[in-house]
Amino acid sequence: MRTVYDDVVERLEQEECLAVATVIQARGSTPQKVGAKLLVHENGRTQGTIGGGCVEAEVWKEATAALRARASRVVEVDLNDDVMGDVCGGTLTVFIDIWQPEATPA
Amino acid sequence: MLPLAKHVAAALKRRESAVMVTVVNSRGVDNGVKLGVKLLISANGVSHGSLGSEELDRAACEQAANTIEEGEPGLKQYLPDGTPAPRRSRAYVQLLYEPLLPPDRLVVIGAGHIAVPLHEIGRILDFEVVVVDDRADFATRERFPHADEVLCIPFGTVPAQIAIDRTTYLVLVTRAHEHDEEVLMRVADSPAPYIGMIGSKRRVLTVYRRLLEEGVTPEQLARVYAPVGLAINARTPQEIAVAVMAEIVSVKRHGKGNHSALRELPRSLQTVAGAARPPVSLPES
Repeated sequence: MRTVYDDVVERLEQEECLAVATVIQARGSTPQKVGAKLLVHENGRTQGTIGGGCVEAEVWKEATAALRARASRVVEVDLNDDVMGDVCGGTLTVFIDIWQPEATPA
Repeated sequence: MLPLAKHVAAALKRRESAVMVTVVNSRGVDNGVKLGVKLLISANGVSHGSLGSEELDRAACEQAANTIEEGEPGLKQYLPDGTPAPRRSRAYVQLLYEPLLPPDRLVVIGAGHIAVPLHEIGRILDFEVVVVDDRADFATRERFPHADEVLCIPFGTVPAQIAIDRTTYLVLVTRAHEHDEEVLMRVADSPAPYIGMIGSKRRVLTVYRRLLEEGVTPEQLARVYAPVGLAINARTPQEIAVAVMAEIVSVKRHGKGNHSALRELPRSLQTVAGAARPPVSLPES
């Protein structure tokens, strides 16, 4: 059975970097679970999910920026924003981890 | 980072448990702690990588067993010397503990008409699915396209060929009670959280009686979910598969199914188990 790490290995073997976004904290009424993962490839393609579209668009944007900068980062996503509509609520903390073929992240 | 990723992927393939510890935040700590650095700790305590300080590595190793036991990821804050950081501490390192656990596995024993929807629903529910039968024309990829493994092996070799651990859910749906017996007598004392066996009360009783003669204990038989599945008046193979998988979800999430149908049976069979000779009277079903 394939796991997230099979996908990570596959990307790194292609000499590509990969962003692994993991929910590390969820407060309020979020459907997201701590530990949920979204993979973002260098070409922008995604795998997995960390919840609805409202969160993922924001995390995807941060992940592609982190990939360009080759640096991991922590992102807070506020789901109470009116723009998101009333489906979501609360705050998510997401760790965006940059995996690189060789070097450890700076 | 490729070697680490490969190591994790391979360990999960071998169904080993581990904990990935990652520095996800730090504040007011300047020496050597970098965001994203990782320590992988296997269930046997062997570690790969480093969090950048011996003190943190040691603290993480101490926490690892708890993370595996709880099975849930979590955050913890430490001072640079590896002691837990007090709330509102100005300087801390935040570690993410992620348990890496092999996926729950559904082992369907018997590749008949109920096995097909069982393996499909098992896949939908994210189980690693293994199907077993001793007939080469039933144990085929074509019949079970969603299975991770389809094994054509004698039923009696099941525990030898498939390691049964506490994430293995077993469903016995063989074509004859002799085969159920062959398997059940070998898995009755396994750590599997779920052993379900299909069959009418009569068939189940027949199997139980034979197993008690073979030395299986009433306590071991009491673990068996039979007749199998939640009571939803299922009739078709697909409906029965839904009932079985619903029971497995219930066991997985709450530790028990409804298991009502034969609650009185193991008790009635205890007299059989207590007798030195084969049973003379069993309840008629």
